[in-house]
Amino acid sequence: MKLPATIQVLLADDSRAMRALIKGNFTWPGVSFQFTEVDNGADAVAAYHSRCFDFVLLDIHMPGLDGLQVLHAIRSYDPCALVYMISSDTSMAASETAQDYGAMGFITKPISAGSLNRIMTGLEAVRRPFAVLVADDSRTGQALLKRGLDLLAIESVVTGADDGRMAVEACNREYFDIIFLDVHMPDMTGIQALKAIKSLRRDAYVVMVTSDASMDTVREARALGADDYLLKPVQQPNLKKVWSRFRVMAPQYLGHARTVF
Amino acid sequence: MSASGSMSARDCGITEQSVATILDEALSSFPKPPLPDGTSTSSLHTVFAHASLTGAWSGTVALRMPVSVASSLTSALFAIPTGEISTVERADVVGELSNVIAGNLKGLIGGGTTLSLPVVIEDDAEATDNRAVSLTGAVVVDFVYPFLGQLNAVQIIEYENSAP
Repeated sequence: MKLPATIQVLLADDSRAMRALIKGNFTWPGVSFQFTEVDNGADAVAAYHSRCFDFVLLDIHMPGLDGLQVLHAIRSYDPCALVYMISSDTSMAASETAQDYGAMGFITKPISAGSLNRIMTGLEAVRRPFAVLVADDSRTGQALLKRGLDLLAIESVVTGADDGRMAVEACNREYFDIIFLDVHMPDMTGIQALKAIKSLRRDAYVVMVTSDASMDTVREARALGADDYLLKPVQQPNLKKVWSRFRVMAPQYLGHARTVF
Repeated sequence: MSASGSMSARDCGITEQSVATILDEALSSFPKPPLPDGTSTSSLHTVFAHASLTGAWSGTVALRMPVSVASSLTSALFAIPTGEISTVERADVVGELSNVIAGNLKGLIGGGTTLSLPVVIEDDAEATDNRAVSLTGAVVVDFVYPFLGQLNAVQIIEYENSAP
């Protein structure tokens, strides 16, 4: 798979010197790397919750939360997260634990040209499905939207939520590339859930789904940060347009199939 | 305008044709359902769903669908055999259809209208008819929508005052 022109990297290492060294070593034809640096595990987890990254470089030995704990936390939040562990510890035990926790690989410091080549070749081969949340108090509504995505041949893992509260809990627990929120739900409405989700992650891409064709609701949702809206009954051409806008407007992450229709 | 000064269904464009178009679109978003078993006793039973609108125009959308049709739609959507479908799953499908119709009508009415959550009852046809009658108001749209070889009843009931 062709790599994007810009790759967002989360680099967690408690040594400032090592971070500078790693950044300096990361050069690859046609790709520009944008690093977000943190010097401890807790900040690495917080950074990944606040926005998605194409991949993560994670030092194993850090004060507080160590690299393996961070790997576990990040992979629990985003099961498709691409994480490479970096360490000067060359013992097999550390490497095996990292693999068990779902790391893409284990790189020995300092990062050599061979290691970089291994990382980039690995990233080129990555394919990850879109993580989709569909919140609708009607299971019928959830199933119809999932069917619509299947008909567009979008490779996705769809999680359902039966009300707004469940949607917010899901977003707190897991990463989603796109969130479809029904407006009209009991307990916590889609509008209330939208506010809560945007306060958790400002860049969350949220599409309001409603049978309410009056523009008042749409305007209110837009004012609160909704990225798009989709009318029920969901018609394929409309879903296609919504998906294309999502692919153009939302950040593009490595490994996602090109699905602009 | 009605006698009370509020909008009438016709003022809002709520007609048999507009409601049938919404229902057409809603049903077309389902996977192709299997034909219901005509010999099934479930064809004698119906699922009745209604959702209300309150505001510039107030009224109720009522949809009555034979259990056999509701089961076919549910079976196609959730990929489960019709014999294994629960009343809850059928209710969800018919409730969602009534919600979609009412929500789309809200768009025709315009601002300041509130849409209720759908209410669904699965009962024998006679009992359901009695429930429908209990929704007092003037029936302004009343038609039969043939689908999968069965008859589905759609009613729009208009209230003179804002409260249903």
